[in-house]
Amino acid sequence: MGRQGARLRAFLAASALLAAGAAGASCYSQGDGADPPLDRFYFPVGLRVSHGGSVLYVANADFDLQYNGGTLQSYDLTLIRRHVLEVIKDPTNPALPWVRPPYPSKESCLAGEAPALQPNGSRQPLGETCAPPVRSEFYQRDTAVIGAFATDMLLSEPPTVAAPAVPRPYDRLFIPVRGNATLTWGNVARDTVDAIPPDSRDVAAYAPWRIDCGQSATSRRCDARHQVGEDPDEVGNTRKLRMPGEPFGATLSEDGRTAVVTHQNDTKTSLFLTGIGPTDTDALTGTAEVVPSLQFVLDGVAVGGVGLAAIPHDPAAFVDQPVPYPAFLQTSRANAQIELLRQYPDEAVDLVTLADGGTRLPSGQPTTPSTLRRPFLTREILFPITTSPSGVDSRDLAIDPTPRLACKARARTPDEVLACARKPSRLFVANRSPAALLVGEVGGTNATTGAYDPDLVTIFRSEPLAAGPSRVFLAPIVDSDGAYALRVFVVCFDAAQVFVFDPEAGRLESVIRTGPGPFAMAFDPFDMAAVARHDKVEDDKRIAGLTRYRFGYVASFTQSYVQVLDLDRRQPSTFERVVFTLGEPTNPKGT
Amino acid sequence: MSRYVKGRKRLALGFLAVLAAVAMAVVLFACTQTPTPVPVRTFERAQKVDFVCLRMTKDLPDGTRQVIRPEGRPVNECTPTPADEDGASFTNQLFALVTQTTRGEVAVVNLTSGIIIDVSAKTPSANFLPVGANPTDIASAPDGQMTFVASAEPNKAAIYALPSERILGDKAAVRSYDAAGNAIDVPLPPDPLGLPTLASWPVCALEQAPAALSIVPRAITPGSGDPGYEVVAVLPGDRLTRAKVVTIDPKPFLRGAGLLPADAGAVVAPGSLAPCVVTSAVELAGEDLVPPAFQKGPTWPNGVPYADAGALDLTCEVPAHSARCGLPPCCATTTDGGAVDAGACARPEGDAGTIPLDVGPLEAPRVVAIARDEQTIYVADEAVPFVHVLDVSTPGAIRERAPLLATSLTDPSRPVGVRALAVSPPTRDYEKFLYAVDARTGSLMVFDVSAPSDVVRTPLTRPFPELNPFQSPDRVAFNSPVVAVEFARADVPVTRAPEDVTGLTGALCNPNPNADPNDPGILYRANSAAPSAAFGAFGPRRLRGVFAFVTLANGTVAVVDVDDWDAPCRRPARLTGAGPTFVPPQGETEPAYSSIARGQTATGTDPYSAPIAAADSTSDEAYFPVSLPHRLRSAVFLRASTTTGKQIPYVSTAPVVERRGVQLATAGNGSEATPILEPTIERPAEAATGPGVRFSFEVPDVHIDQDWSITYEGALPGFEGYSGALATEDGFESLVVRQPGARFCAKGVEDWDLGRERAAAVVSALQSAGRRPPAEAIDRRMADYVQITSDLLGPDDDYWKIGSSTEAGSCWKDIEAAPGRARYDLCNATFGAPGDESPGRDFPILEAYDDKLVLGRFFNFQTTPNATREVVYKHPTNARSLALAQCCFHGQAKFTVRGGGQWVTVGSSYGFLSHLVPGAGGRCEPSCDPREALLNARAPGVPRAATGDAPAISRDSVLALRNPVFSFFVENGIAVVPDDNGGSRVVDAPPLRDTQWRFTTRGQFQSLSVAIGGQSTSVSPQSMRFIPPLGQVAVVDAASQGLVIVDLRTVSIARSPFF
Repeated sequence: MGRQGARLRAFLAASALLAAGAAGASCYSQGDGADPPLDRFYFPVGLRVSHGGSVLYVANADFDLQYNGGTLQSYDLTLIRRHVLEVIKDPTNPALPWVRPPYPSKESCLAGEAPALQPNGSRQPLGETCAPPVRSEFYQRDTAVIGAFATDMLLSEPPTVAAPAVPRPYDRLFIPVRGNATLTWGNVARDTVDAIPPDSRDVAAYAPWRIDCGQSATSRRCDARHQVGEDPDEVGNTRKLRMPGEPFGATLSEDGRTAVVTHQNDTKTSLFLTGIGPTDTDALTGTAEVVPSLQFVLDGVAVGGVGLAAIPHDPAAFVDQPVPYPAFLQTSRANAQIELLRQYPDEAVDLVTLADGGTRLPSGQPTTPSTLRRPFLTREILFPITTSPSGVDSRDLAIDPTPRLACKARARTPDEVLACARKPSRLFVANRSPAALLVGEVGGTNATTGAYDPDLVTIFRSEPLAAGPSRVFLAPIVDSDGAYALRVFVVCFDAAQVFVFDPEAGRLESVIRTGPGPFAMAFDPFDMAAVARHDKVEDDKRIAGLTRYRFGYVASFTQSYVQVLDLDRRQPSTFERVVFTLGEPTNPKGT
Repeated sequence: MSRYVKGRKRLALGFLAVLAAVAMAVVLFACTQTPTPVPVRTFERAQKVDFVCLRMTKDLPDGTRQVIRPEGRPVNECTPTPADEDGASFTNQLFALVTQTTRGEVAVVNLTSGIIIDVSAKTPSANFLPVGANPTDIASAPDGQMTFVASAEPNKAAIYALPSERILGDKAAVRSYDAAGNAIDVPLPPDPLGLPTLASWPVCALEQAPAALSIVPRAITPGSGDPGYEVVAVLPGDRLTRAKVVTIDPKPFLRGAGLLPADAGAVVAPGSLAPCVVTSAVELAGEDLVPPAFQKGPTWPNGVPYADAGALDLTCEVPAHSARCGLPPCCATTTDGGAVDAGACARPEGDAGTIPLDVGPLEAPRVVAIARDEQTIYVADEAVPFVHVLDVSTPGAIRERAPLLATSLTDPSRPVGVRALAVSPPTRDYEKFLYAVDARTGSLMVFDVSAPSDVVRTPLTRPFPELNPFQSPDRVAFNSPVVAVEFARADVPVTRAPEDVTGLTGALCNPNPNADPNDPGILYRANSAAPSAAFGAFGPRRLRGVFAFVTLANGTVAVVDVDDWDAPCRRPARLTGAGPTFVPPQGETEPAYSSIARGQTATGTDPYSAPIAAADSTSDEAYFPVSLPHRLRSAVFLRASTTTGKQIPYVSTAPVVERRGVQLATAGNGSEATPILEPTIERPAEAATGPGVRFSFEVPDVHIDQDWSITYEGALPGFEGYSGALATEDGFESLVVRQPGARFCAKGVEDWDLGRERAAAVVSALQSAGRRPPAEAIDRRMADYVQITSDLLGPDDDYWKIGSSTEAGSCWKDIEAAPGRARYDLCNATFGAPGDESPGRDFPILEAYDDKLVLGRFFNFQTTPNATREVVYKHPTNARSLALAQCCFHGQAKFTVRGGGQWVTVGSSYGFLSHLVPGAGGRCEPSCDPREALLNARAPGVPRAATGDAPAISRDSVLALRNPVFSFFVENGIAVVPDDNGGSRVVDAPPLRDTQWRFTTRGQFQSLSVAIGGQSTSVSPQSMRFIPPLGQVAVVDAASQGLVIVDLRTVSIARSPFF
């Protein structure tokens, strides 16, 4: 057979390997292959902005398995924001690290009349006319390697209860990773609004740039301790559990103590302790760090679990009765419903909440615990989706507490405070059949009992969207008076559009066309209470001429880059438009 | 290469191809999802529609027609296109203008010829008219000259004016025919101004983004150039600007478009974005005017509009109330003291008193929709519970009148927002109704707006709400939220002679045998020969009267009766059980009126004074009234027919009785021990036959096809997934199961006190009925109980190793089991596995609260679970049992609740019906709301009568179960046991736990409706509008269907959707 036979054998072997790999390990990397690129995006799926606004954290998925893992990266957001401002002022600024040299005139962009064609007659890529791509490597600061197929990224909230005795100096990132079925986590030094990052590219120059997931200096790969869910014997996993496959959606509980993770091809939902909470001391046992651990796997939820959101409970809404245990809403691709899950502490009595957010047993109870205090989840009730003929294929969801926060800010009497605390939160669900933003409420009066039910879900409206809605984000714009005004950003993956919905007016505000396959979004840091009150946006002391909140960031999954959106209504020519392109748009290999 | 090698190579390559295909398929299956097919549509997020009639040709003196530039005409000058004619040749053609919100455009659809207009011949694909981004509403002028489009573009809120003469672009044509009959499309003369662009339209700026538009007609001053209308714009209000309604002078638009001379006043030039010329404005009332309390609205008509309404007596179609509610029974005909569940008549109808309206702090008004009734404007407010009422009769001076107050009787503290609304045309009784969509529930409120009022009005309420407690008393609810509502008045006029072209309209169908022979209502009877093909057959699909068309979010357009002129003939032929079967027409021999039920008079000729209708004049349905105002219209005759089958509720197959999968005998040997399911008697009394149930025929829409189970000591549904925390507050004299989310009252959990009350009523009723007393002490048995369903933790779990046996407060204290395996063994011996259903897992409920249950223990529980056992109240002897329960299940356990000593009825759709509510201190107690009187699901086991002549049991007896759907009672079996004299005797044999009757009900209510998407689920309806000249309703869908036209004559989609 000669060469042909050799080719045939090689092809046969490759096909057999492909088949064996496909059948045995599904589509996941077994650790072979080249190391992933450390300084650029590769199928970004998670974006988070540090609480101080100086760092953009990015989770990359390695979706086509070109490499032996995905990455977790940090970018100098202060520098990015400064350059965004410069691009808006002058899109031809030669000092910027362009991938492609800009050609439009500064005047045409400022006038909003930029040409759609390049000088060579070819069509200018969408969004790049006045924002040609810049090299993302210039802004990248640190990278760690994680498993393939990350799906999202969570960032812990800063402590809400001050306990200065043992301050927690860091925040924590959590990434559900499908490739190895783990919840991968890492610590990052806490970034504050007052901190000023240096003009340096050295990751050591500014602590929040550095990601700590136990990675080695050479491989940059996160260690096993930072990938929980795989090992039934890991610390804190007293039930000896292993996380099911295909983790997908994730959310943190309201107090941050637990993380809940969906599994998209299974009827299970996993519960983790995060090792941190609303107090600075939650993360430490003595001087030892408390690490995340898998606690419980709930079975029986609808298959195709995707979106998760924690229901906000206001303690002021519960007079002479305990605040409900943490509750979560979960969506499903398969069923036209939203499920209510609740987390219990596995204790026979209601714990007393202390002033610092900690808990203790009530008086009269034995001091020796009679249980192992292992939290667990239950599946309480289903809320059907009736606002469309199908209602299936629900994706992300978001719960907006600002009606309650705004009302409480205006309340004067205890009765008013109670009424405001019981005001329903708004609920937004991305649904694909048909493409729609489902609008509803969480909380209200139970029609049967007449009692206040903080977890009652009502979906009453369906706003049409373009194809493929995937993610829902709550974030403000800067309104015409310089104040925060909340918006709902719905990312439509298939249509490459971001729909901006005004929840207070109850109507669509605009549609932003983005690069192909938008998925993750992040925003400059903001405080939801300040948004609810419509506080004025403060100036950013680090960058002259910029407010502390102004930009949104949307990652193109398909072309592996990040676009920056201007969210300042006072800038009519750039409002809700792409103003900066971070990284070179790159099509997936083979396309 | 040999053929063999070639063949092997082909084989290998084939194998490889298959292998590769399999591999790729596996990879694809594992790693990707099937992409959602996205239909190709020219419409993108269509939202609102209005209509313009255009004159396309003019007749020349020589008798020929000339195609002209389009000229706007009033809509009523356009006519429907008959099926056999080509609408493209009509002189006047009707166009729909549909907003496209994604692209900021208006699509033009020719409804007369049935095509979408492409306004530009040069640009590929269908092109529409550009307007500002995010168009929110559209309104055409009554003269057809201009269409106004509201745009909510950020930073550029505006109203665009589209002159009708320019909306067709350069591609439209009118069809003509040559002498040979060949069709020729004659293009319109070119637009001298060229193709319209965004800058072509007169446009004016508003201070905030408009939400809705309307047109209010005005008197025309001759010679003034007045177009005879003003534009009304709803400015919704936002954080920085108050909600307003403004009127806008249209003349500047007309001048800007060249339709009026430009030198006579202000001009809105094309593309200028000059400020709109506001002629009047009013800021809408807000929170300050919300009253602290409201009165329940009056009931809406009950469908029987005359005082002598026949023999129907609905007043006693409710059960008697519970004694705990403090009022005597309302019906004297019940055979005993009434069911313990019932709350009816506790509060006389219409005497709700003043209801506090404590809605808490509200936001500023946020108005979103508008409806006009002559010179009155109604504006929906989502933030303040008002429908604002504006008097616009005086140009330049809008005046806000007392609003309609949007309230909810089921949740008075909820601030009710209104999202959409519509006003009906007047009914035969000159009533007008406003339907307002409750923004949160998606249901409809009904307001009476027949006359202007300066008094705050609240929603009308449903007559006899207890007969369908699943409907809110002040709402019309659907299975999907209402998106839009529209009214239409329709008729099929009677023409008595060929030369009579106008015909009579508004005649009520009259089935009265005494009716005047000249009454046109006779022609609408069921047996009337239709005067013409267009007359339509008598039946649900013939719409005569005023109807509401309600578009639901799921793409269904449902028909609601408002004033059905055929209603008098939609009824049973006989409304009484006695009397003649036929009443001769007037002039013939008079019937024996003495045998006719009350209500009818010898001289009555009106449609409702006919307890016995003229032969074959009615639909002979099972209900009366069939057609009730503000109720969904049935799609079928509600009757059992040999031709159409059973279209009334029925049990599909014979009920079966079984226990844990083993069918029990209902005849022959052993059947005497089987409990029998029996229907209650009809009133007046008739023999009961079983097994079966008696259906209720009061309201048709309460019936839903479902499976029913009636289980002795069955589990109450709704506790799956819940875990309760187990604790004690009294040293284990009792055990508390705490579960704040369980809502025990709402799920119908009865405790020992309620059980004893029920047991006492049962014993009393049995005595009155001459039946045997219960075989056991049901007053110590008839309490619900908790059954723990958790598994024990595994024997090796670390849990068994912790916890002190000596520490005060510990559940292990004084339990002789050392930490470790011994504890597991003790627990396993006590409770076993859940599937074993050990009686040790059962704990009677001493007190039921909404968030917790206080448990005791059963005496003699070691015997079989169905044996007689009695509740032990809080007592020191309970300590060991209850402490073990807490310890063995590590302080939290999954559980279910079973009804103690009684039958538990569960429907697969309705679930377990109960009307318990949290009372004082959260303790569960029956609601005294009469509306909930029929929410029942429990029935006692009734010992068989010692003799065969015991009175039958009525549906209102405490021995029976009556819910809104049916009623029944269950007789216990009997057993023969030895007596003390060496002989035998017959004793009552209570059923065993989990003995179950099962059956399926069919014949559910089917509403008259149309699915705008057909089989497609890609539907997202946005709005609807009635097209009077066509007798059709247009529905706009934002997903894939675009513009859908529903024909009222057939109640079906008129033609393929436009998209």
